[in-house]
Amino acid sequence: MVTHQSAGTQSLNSMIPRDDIVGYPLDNLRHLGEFLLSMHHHNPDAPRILFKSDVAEAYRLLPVHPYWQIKQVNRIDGLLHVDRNSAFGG
Amino acid sequence: MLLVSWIAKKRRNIELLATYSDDSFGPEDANNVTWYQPYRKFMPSNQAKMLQLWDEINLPHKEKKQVSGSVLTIIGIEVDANALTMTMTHNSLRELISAITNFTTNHHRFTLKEWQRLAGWFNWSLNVFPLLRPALNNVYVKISGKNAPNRNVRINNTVRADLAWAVNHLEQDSGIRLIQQIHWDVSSTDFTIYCDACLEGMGFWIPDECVGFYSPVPEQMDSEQIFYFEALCVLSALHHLIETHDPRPSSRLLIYTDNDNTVAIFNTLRCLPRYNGILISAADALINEKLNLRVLHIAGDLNFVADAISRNNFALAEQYVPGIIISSFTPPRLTLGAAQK
Repeated sequence: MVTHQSAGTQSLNSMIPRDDIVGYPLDNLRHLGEFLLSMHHHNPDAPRILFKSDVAEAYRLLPVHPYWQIKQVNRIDGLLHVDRNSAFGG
Repeated sequence: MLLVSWIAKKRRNIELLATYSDDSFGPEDANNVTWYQPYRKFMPSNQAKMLQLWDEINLPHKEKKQVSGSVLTIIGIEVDANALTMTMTHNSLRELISAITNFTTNHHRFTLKEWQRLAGWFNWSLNVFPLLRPALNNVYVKISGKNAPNRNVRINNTVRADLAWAVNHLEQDSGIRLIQQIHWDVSSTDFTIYCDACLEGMGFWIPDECVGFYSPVPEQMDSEQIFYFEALCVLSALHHLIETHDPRPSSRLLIYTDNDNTVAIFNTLRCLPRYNGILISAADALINEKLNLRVLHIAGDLNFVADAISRNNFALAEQYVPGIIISSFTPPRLTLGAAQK
């Protein structure tokens, strides 16, 4: 299945007011750098390790707006299924 | 994910945890491991605690995406927890350089989406090259307020020059950044300078050496231009220190000013176009001399020595600091200046 979320003039992506999402502070490596330095400061000789964890198919876990859900109805073997979650990712 | 992170930090006491979209990452004491039964192995304790939280709320995860190591690639950048370095791989660096070069040389216009993509890419690289931030200031001016993603936006010579400036530095860079150079504490400062500017002039002084410096400003200055000269004064102090002291690499320089605007632009390296020449000149000096600069705020009434110097009132400065020697300085020449509005 292919979903083009920027298609048309009223597409899903273009209907998000840009001012609502720009400048939203994502954590970056700045925080990690500060964490590492504070550990180093506290105990310079202790060996450190990094970990990274990723949620499986995170976008498929996100419910979308009900108005968009009606556009995500899939016909499978004659039955209509409403896909309630974001269609991409995984 | 943010709520889950909040629970992890506040309720499960995983204090050192950062979240980027659906990636969660953090450091842990290498000896601090916990047996995680579902994957039947020892994992960094904080990571195990977080997976237990995810299990509790039925957030799915796969074993191969739960990684750890003393060196780990996080959002595309190689972080070494013990050497305390952040490295952009040679290939990533080449790709970034080629994307910017393509932008500045091949065409006159790009779609808004292409501008945003380049800005986002460059912004990511600032994790390793924080001093190159001024290269984005004019880019953001070009694309701000626009929202038709496929509409073309013309590139101008200022943006070209700023991006070419960044490429020039990227090409000479190893791609390795010491974390200790990015974040440092004021208590480890090597040089401290106090700056001030007023309608009459600019002044700075170095308490450790009991010396001060003064320069007049152009006579036709209006009150808005005072911000420009506050910032120019900080830049002048930086250049002065380099010329007279030839500080060893990694020296830490602290400059105080009572002007909030100047503190903000030097610490964020974000500014309006008219100040960008100042930030680019400062970044050049810091990169070439391998120096670290922090600009901090001091209350105006505590900055009385620099204030007296900037007002050309050397007698008053001498009263505050007996024996102070005051000479003149010439601010660095910049291509963009207060005259250009």
